[in-house]
Amino acid sequence: MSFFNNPGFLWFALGGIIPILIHLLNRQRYRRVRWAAMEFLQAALRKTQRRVRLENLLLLLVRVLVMVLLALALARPFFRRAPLEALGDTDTHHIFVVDVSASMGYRPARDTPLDVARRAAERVLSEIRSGEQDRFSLVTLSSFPEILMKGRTQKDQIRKALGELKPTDYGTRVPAAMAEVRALLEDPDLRNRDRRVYLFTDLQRVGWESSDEAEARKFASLLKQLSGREDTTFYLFDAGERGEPVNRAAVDLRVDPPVVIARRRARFTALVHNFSALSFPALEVTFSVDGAAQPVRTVPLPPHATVPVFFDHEFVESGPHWVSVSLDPDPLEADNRRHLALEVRTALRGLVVDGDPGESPRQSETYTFVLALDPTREGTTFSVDSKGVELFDAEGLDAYDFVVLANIPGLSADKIERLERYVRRGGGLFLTLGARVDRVSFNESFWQGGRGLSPAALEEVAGAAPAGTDGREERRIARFEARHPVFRTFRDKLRAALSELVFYRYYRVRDFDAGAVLASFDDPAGSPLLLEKAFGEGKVLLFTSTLDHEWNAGIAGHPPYLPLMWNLCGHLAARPPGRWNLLVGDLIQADLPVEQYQPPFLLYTPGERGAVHLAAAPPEPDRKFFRVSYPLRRRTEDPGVLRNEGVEWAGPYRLTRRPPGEEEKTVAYFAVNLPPRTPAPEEIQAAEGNLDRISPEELRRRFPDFKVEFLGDRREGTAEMDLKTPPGSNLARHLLFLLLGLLLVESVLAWWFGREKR
Amino acid sequence: MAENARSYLDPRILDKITRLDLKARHLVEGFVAGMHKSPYHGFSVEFAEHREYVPGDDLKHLDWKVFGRTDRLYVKEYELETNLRSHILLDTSESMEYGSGRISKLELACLVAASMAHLILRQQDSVGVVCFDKEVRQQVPPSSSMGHLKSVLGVLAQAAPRNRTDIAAVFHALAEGIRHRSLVLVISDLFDRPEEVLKALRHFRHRRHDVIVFHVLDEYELTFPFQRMTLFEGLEEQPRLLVDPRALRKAYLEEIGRFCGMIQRECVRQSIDYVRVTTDQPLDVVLSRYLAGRLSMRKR
Repeated sequence: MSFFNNPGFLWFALGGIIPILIHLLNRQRYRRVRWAAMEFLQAALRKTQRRVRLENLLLLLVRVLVMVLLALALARPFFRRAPLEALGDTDTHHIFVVDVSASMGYRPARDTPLDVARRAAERVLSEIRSGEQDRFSLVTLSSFPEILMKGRTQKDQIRKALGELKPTDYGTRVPAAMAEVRALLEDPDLRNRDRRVYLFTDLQRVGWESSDEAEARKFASLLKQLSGREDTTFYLFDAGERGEPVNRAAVDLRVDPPVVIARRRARFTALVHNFSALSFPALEVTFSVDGAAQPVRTVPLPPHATVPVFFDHEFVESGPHWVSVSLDPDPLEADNRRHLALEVRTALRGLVVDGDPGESPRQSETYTFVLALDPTREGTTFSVDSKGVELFDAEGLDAYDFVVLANIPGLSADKIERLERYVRRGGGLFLTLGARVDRVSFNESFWQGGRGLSPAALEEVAGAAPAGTDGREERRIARFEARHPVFRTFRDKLRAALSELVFYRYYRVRDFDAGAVLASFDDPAGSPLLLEKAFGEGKVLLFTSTLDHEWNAGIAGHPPYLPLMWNLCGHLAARPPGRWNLLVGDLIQADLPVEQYQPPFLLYTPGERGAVHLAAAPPEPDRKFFRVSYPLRRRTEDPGVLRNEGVEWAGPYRLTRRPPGEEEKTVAYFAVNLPPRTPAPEEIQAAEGNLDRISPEELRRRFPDFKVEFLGDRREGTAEMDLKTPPGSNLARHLLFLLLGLLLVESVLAWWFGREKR
Repeated sequence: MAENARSYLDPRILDKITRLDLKARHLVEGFVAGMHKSPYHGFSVEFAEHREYVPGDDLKHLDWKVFGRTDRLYVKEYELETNLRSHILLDTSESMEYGSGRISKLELACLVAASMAHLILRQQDSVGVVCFDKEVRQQVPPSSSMGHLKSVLGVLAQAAPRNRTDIAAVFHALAEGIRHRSLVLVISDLFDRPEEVLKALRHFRHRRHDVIVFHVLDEYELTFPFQRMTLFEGLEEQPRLLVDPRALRKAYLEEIGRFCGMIQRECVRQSIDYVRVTTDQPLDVVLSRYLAGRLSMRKR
């Protein structure tokens, strides 16, 4: 199949009638001669007529052909496939797509798939017989594809860039890379030419498949659209290792409790997954805290199994820390480590606002609650500030890890607004109810038709008469979310303990999500006792009864009360792990208190970049926080090329500040890991450490409309590659040579035929 | 005669005659001055009788045949013919109209005729002229008087090219019509069927006439120098041809060369004098060369 780069010039082919017109015109311009020797002339004509006619026809034909060839050459026709090797001249946009995901760093032997891909790409580059009009682009294939070069004229530029490619810590997402390829194919500066897309990848299955059917259909459609274009040819080189992959990965690292208190034991749990069919009877796992290695643990790791490894630690100092786990080296190093950044607290600070202070402190709504949290009043685990609702101004809430509003009649709109801002920024709010709560006011302030802080709207109070009345009906907790951190103490053997807590009265609620209910009563309606709502980055828990004994049988005096409230407050105090614990490609962003605004800020990165200065704009006067971010979206010299936003390398990142005249201080740690974000089985299987491949045959079956030619592959044990480079063919140059030849032929013929006439 | 008188009185004709006369005279005197004898001898002298040889007789008149038979020497005596009878046959067909330069073939032919008439009359021989195309158009019988020249010149001056050519038919008729051995001067371009023309010339020879062929051609007919696209309009009812002359030139020259060569070779074979006269050559040089050549042949 062929077509033209400049089809408009084909109209010039009509110039082929010019020689015919000139020939006809010449025949109209003659002189007249009265001639006597006509017989001799006739005899001569009879002898030469045929020859003369042939000569004239030949010359005319050559001249017409010259005009037509000129038009064709200007129109620049080309074939997608050169009929002859000798015609392998190109006017082509060559797009090299090279997989740089973490799996391309898999090194079972000497070469990684990226080494193999690079060599194959260089070989293709060498074998391309490029013309002056050829253009070269380079795209990286990963979960964050980048156009490294666009429309370059020199092969050497691509060659150099290929040489500098290294495996990243990114995952593999072929659809994302193809979207970038589409942008290049549709680039208006690079149109009117043949396109060849050379894909060099290890054919990792997770990059080609998606569990979302809609996404999978969209991807198949994109492949069909791109490869089905007349002017585009796809080639694929399989750089993957064909043997059985051997890989283990640290897929998760978390701490319990979520909020770690200094000088209290914290348990770290690492999950190690075996992606291979091999068994590792004694896998060495090493934890380290702030870079200091801890004693090695050895665990057996069966094939395709996920095994937990535990590590207990007490932090002496509060402040930012990081913990990491690393495995024995294997062919894919990138996923052998997992990091966790955490803020170790001296104690969790809470503000308790008491709506029913009573006549004495012991009679207050929150007396037993506060006592449960901080029995010694030393603030060792919880440091609690209490105040009556009249004194509560909702200012300075960010100093607290959680806020409790216990049985309060109502709050003004501005206080509600400040509460909402606090929770939205990550704060925890615990709402408890009682006789002081006005249902209407509560619904107006906290429910707001579902937009407010409360996970539910209040209805009537249910339950028996106040305490002391005989015949009141007892309600116990019938159901609770055992997996929720609030109830972590009550799993397994202690499951039944919560049933000790007896309630008499509670608010019925409505308009709540069933998933918001963490615990419910044994009444016929299964009324909720505890509900949760996520609000911005924070959370709100609604307790539908009282904290004190007014509506219950003195739950504060029962053993489950204390762990329940500790868990609850600890849960409220826990900030989203995503602020400090990220995946590769995420943006590091920290909102820091204005008191910490002491530039310069340095971010120590695990990659080659080393320490990076971070710019931070001075905080605005009425703001209590300022933000630092890393990295920014970088513009390159080429306006069409942008580099990724998001961190590129996994590992610990340390943010420091340097107060004037003081030593450098660590502000925070950020831990950046490879996926998965959670240890769910489907996420583990979708991780980059899963080196399962999709074969070319399966690729064809799965994407039957994806027109791709396989350039070659990596043979086991050999460095040979069966590589066929496809020549395209731009005929313009050849047509011009032919044209020159024809002009020469025309000159020679005209001279030769005219020689006899002279 | 009346016609002649009328044409004679026409000033244009008179002028032409005068000019022709002057030219021819000039030509003839130019080469006669170098000649002591006439190139044309009484080859029409008749044998009279034998007489015995006496010392002093010209040995060339000895009859060797008789000596062979009789062993006795006898000389031949001849009856001297008083006049060389000449007939100038002038082709006035339309083809003779062509002339690429100053002079047409007919004008040149007339000049040749006038010159030869002058020469012949000068040596007191008789000359007549026949103008022909496809048939005889005008004829003046031979006469040797100088006043006859005017008649001859008059005919020549009035000769106008017209009609097609049929040389063979005319010559055959003339060959039969001329009774006595004569000198026949053919002045023509001979553009007719060559085999028939040659046959007709052979007829003259068969009738024991002495023939000279003045083959009159135009320079362009021999060189064909045309370059541009040309529409050749044929004379003598020939068709028109629009051709690129450069494409035909070589073939045309071959044809015309073959024709002239054939005529010349056959003339030589038939002992016919062949003189090619072209419009680009000085006539006096052509004639003097020819006549000088003929004189030297007589000496051998």
